[in-house]
Order: sequence, then structure tokens, then C-alpha cells
Amino acid sequence: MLPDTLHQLPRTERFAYAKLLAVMARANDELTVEEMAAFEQRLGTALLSPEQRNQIRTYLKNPPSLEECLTGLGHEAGRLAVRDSVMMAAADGNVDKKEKKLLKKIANYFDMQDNTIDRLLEWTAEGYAWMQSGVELLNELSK
Amino acid sequence: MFPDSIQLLSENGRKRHANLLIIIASADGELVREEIAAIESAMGLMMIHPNVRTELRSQFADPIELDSLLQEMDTAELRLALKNGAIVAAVDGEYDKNEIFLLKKIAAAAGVSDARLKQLLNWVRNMWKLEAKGRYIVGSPMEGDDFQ
Repeated sequence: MLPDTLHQLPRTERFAYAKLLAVMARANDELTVEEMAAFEQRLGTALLSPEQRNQIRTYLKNPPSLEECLTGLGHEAGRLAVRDSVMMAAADGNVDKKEKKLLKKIANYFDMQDNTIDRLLEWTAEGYAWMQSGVELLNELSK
Repeated sequence: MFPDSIQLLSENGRKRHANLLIIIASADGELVREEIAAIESAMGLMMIHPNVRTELRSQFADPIELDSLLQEMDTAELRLALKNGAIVAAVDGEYDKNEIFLLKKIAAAAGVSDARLKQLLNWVRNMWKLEAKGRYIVGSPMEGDDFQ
């Protein structure tokens, strides 16, 4: 929810970012509720128009090829898409082999370090712990 | 933003949650792009129906009244809204006095002490560092990022 560089990118870049997320969401042919919620959250953060969001949602049913998504996607939008794809893939508590392989392929395309995906997975785990600490704080709020 | 229990709220509960975030974001004047992105992010995470989102967006310029909304919310809803409201209030930088006033009002309705509210605001500050770290890992930092 906190500000990010994503909403500052040109609209075409944000659309291309979301398109890549749609492909990533279909990486293992299984889209859980948690992944879907994370996907919708990122569409919201990207400030796409309702029409663009509808278009992106159709990619969940008929995903474009990875090559099509990567063509024309700038480095910054691509790198943010890698970060958010990791978060989305981990939303259901499990990043399987297919997802990890695709993530590494995309990270490689954007010249990211070999250990980027593993570092992002550790960062996501930190995020879950932080979120949990917020929930625990909520449970104690009236004490 | 990481997964949150707001997904578990009822349909009306999610709508009330979004309404409260809109009220908080509007507290310091007209909504800025960061605040709209934060609200859109929350509406997405709650998987609110697109038609309901359109309805909620109409309140960006004219939010509903806080007191009646607080009366409709139970304690659990109020606490979740307080947590996420503290995040939304932070998106455009520091908390301003109107935002703090609203957060205190929600805290009082939720039975939360000022000391606990302060803890919650500190918890939000740690999120800035966490988000900055994520940007650092992918080599896409924002001006002023500090995750140490």
C-alpha cells in the first residue's frame, strides 16, 4: 500500500507490467484465491483504468507468450514485475518449481543477479513476518 | 503490501473498510496520486467487485460521514481499519494533524489506547524500510530510500 515507483511509470509501461504478472499468475496452471488477491492488488497499485484491468484479466484465461510480454517492457517496470511476481507467487505459501523457473528466466532477461529470486523470497518472508506482527499488535491493541 | 486478513471480511465489511480508508486519505485535503494508489491497492486486495469500486471512487471527492460509519463497524473491523488506515495516512509522507485526529477517533471507537496507537504508527514506519529493501534488491530505488 505504501508508495512505490510503479504508479509513476507511463501507462503503457504499467500495462506491460500487469501483462507480465498475468503470465506469471498462470505459470503453474493454478491460480489460488491468495494469488488472485495479490494480482488484483497490484492492478490497483498500478492505477490502470477499469478497461485496462478488464483487458489484463482476459490474459489470465488466455495468457500471451512470455516473449510477447517481455518485448517492449522497460527495465524498471520489468524489475518491479519480478519483485511483485515473487510476492504474488508466494501469496499462497508455496512457490513451486515451474514458478521459480519462470521467475529466474524473467530475472535473467532483465540482467538481475543470479540470487535475486532467492533474496526476494527471503524478503517476502520478512514481509509476512512483519504483517503477522501487525496482526499480533492488533490482537493486543486494547491491553 | 503483503497479504492481509481484510480478504476475510464480509462483502459489506470490505466496503466499509474501503470507505474508512477514503475518509482517512481525504483528511489532509484532496487525494494525491499516492493515496489513490493505496486505496486502489486495498480494493484490489479485498477483491471488491469492479462495479462497487466505481461506486466507491465517487466518494473520493465527497467521502461519507465518519461517525455513522464507525457505528456500523464492529471492534474487529475497526481494528483492521485502524491498522490499514495508519498505512494509508502515511503514504504521502508524515502524518498530519487531521489524520492523527481521525486515527485517534477510530482508536477510541475500537477501544485502543493512545500508547498502543503510537506502537501501531511505529510498526508502519518499519514497513517503509521493508518496501525500500524490496526496491533495493531489484535495483529500482526511490529517492530517499533507507532500509538499514
